Amino acid sequence: MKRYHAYTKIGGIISAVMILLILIAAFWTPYDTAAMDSSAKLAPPSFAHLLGTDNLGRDILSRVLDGAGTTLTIAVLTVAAGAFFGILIGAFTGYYGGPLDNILMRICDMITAFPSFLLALVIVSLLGSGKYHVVLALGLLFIPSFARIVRGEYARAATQAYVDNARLMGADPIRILFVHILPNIRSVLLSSIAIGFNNAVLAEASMSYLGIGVQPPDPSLGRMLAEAQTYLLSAPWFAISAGSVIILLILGFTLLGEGLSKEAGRNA
Amino acid sequence: MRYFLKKFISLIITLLLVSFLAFLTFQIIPGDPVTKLLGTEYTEEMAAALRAQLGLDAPFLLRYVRWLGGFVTGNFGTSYSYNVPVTSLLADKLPVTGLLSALSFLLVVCISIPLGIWLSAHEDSLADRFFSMLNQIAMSIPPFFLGIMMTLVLGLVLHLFTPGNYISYTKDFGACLSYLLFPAIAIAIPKIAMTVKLLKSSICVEYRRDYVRTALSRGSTRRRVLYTHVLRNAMIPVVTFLALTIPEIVAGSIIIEQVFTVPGLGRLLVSSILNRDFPVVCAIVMLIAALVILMNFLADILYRIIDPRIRIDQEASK
Amino acid sequence: MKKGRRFTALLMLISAVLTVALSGCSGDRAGTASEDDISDTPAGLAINVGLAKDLDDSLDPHKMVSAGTKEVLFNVFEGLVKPDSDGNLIPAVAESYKVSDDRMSYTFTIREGIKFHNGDEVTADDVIYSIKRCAGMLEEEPEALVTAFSAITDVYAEDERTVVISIESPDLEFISYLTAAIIPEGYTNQTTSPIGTGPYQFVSRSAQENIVLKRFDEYWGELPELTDVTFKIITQDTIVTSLRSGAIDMCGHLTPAQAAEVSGQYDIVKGGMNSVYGVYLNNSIEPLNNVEVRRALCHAISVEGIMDLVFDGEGTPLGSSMYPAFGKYFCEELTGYYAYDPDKAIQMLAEAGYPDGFDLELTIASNITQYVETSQVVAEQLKAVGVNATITLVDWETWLSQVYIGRDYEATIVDFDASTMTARALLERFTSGYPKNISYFADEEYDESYAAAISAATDEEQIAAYKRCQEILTEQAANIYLMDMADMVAIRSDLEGYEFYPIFVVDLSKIHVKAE
Repeated sequence: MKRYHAYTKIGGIISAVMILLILIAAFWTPYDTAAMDSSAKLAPPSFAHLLGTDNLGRDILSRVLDGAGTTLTIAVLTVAAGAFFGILIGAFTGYYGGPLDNILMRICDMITAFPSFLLALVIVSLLGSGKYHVVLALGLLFIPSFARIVRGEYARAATQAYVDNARLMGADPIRILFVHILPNIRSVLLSSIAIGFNNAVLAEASMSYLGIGVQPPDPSLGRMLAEAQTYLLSAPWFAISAGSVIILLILGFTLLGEGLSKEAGRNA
Repeated sequence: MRYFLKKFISLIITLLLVSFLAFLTFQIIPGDPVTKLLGTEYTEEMAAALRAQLGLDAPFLLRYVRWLGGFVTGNFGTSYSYNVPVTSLLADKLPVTGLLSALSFLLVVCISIPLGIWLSAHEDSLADRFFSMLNQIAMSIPPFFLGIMMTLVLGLVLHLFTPGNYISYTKDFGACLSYLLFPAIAIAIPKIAMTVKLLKSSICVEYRRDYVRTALSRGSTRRRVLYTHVLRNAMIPVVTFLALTIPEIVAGSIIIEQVFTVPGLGRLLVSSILNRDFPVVCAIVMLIAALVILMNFLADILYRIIDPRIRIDQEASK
Repeated sequence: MKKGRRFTALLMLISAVLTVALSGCSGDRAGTASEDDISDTPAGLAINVGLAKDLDDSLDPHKMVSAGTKEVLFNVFEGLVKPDSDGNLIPAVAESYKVSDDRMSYTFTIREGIKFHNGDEVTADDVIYSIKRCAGMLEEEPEALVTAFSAITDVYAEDERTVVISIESPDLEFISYLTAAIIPEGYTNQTTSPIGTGPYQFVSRSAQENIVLKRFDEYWGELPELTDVTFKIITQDTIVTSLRSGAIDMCGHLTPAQAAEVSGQYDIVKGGMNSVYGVYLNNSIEPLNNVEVRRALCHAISVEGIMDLVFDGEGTPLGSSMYPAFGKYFCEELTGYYAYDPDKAIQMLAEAGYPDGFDLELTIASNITQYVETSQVVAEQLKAVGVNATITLVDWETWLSQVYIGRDYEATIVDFDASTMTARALLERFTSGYPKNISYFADEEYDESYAAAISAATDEEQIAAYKRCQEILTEQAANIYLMDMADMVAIRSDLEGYEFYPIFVVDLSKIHVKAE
């Protein structure tokens, strides 16, 4: 039996539990996430409300799970978009080089150098604010980092023997790029996807903390943290619940990514 | 030399692209500086007169060229909100963010490097395992959540500092520094965790190299090998990483300044965006962009200086 | 070993810098202690006041636009007359004034020996300059900065201390506009370094950091107790933590929830926000152009529910576009005109042709906590009658350009105040010709009534006409009027004297240490 690294186990368990809870919350939450109760404002954790209630008497457990679902969806979509376009751009520019490489890399530099808050605001004002526009804004931000890493790997691969062989054998360039080279850089990709996922969760939370992104009454973890600041002393569970969920989401995937790459290193 | 020239040109091009994008931004997002200056009860004539006065009635490209011309000659324009030259606003706020970032960077360097070295010497010990786990958790904490928790625990419960009581560096430098220490810690902790992890693994990789084995077999002490050979090589990726961390720290300060109510560039940027005060926004954006690009450049050069295997001109002529 | 030493040297340098930073910590404590010393000595009383929004516009009293700037600089500037906390006008720069029998000419006598903050005495020329500047009668200011001043036909000095202002037709409310600040003639730095005649003088402003005022020791009136006031710029979300930590001694405009968080440590002073808080509806679009639909929405909203959830039960429910501080104009009987009755609302919607409800977008300015929280309650209440309300948060500038100026929206939540203490400010905005009539409210009788109120010869006529205007707004369900929000001020428990005004100002001059 294959022995898993401790990180893989812990990370796997945390992620699996989080995803399970989020999936359950997608269909059923203990309370309606928007239902308010003026008689139970800022109630401490109890059997009725496991994580207590917020300043409008809404069940925090239901809200953090729903919010975590939104965050997770956004993060997954963002990383998928960033990785897809990043690989596409990185592969061509890294393999072929030339003026196109220069132009695309300058554009990537520009996006990296531009404050993400402003860029997100532009996209949100262009398209109106909403969950999926946040994805677009973040996805755009994540393309450059993927592109840069992939580009480096492809530039290195282009000079290697197996690629030369394939080229000499007359393989289609597209085939070389995505069938020959891509599987060879998967370990690099895997770790950048793990990092990208964490950054995406963080970015979404930060943006909604600053007030752009998910719209109320839909719960969002970043926004809940901003609101919870007012009630830090009287209802610390409000901030702690929202913050812990963000940490658990990130921690689970970081550990999983870390463990998997350590195993890959051990096997190699 | 060709290398530097090439890098310099690409730096300028990127900055131009950034400036154009920044300028374009305010074409796109709704909001009108005229309502900021005249309030809501203005007549069309007043608005038209003001637009003409500010040069806002010119076509977009002409305005961009005018602004760019001013920018390169050091005239960043006047803030719509505060009616003072943008340069004086920046001169007032830059030291705040600069101090915060420097403090934060200092914390990263002087905690992570000794810690990384120490942990690498005790690989797989109980302490190492504990710190590795702690590291993973520290990397997962959003800095602004850390900031909120610090406000609660260190500020409101333990009274180590007074949340919200920022004191200007012009008034009392020591007090300013000690207030900034807390947001600096909030920014630094995840970065420390990442640096420790990188340094540790980098040292461990170096120890397994042949030349280290040779040196050890010749009777050098582990300590001596560490400081003469291993560290020098192991620091290459770390130094590069640290250079790239600087712009991230500055960017991180944008949100941390909100949490700790520090009146730095970050708060000015966010409020100026919300106020459509675009001379200020453009200037800050350019500043941050220049920093990011310069640090990337610096990382690249450091990489080449520390690792002589890569010759600068050789690379450039490729 | 050389490199090792260099590395050690680096570490030492770093630790040295850190030591400085950490020793600053203890310096901090010493610093606050010394500040406390200042406030305890008879020489001065210094306090920090929290502001959730920066004064980020012009500080020129005639050109400042944001309510927050006017609120703070109320302490720096005075007009010929100024309001007191009961809403009456009391003499300020002018020690007295006379109105001619035809009510078209006002004669002011300037207070003897009154000085500007730069030490110069206020002259008739300064007064004429200030009035002309507001009226757009100066070459450099060709547009009237105060709209009502365009009625001024002449301003002249009768002698060194007497100024006469003539207007083209009688106007009962004209005197309330003479609260416009008197500023020194020829002084050009008002935008960044304002000079007035008020009890406090401007010291400095640092963007997103603070505004510092100090007592003007040559003030003509009674000298206030507070000598140094620093307004610290914080954020909505950090008001409570800044109060709890003691970083600020006073903070206004707390929500009841914020007030409850600090009530153990601070004295809480309660008042009204003095504004008309409501769900404003675009009467020009389907289905809100149907008066029955609007009436149904009024029945669907429970003001009490909103007050309980968002405002801890505080606030004064309103039925029309007027709030109680206006006393004589306020129609109390309109409150509760539409009783909360969701079943009736459903039935009315069905009769109006919307048995399945409809979609409604609430465009909300995200910077005001109250709006955001209220919008969520309103959305829930509307859902209960089948109206599918969605919330779109926008930043303030977007709200201004899109909703207030562009009038391109379906429904919004906002509060309107009357910065000049005139009923006109609250009711003119619903006349059909008003460019910022965000409700697109158009009613002939309303326009007539409003015109009658403006040109009324007596108070009674004016009151009756203004009351009729309010009734029409309510009967036609122009908007869903909610309440005059509760406004709460937290003040350090050894201080007292905070007074609420019917306009949006903070009067520092009345705040003093409690008597033992």
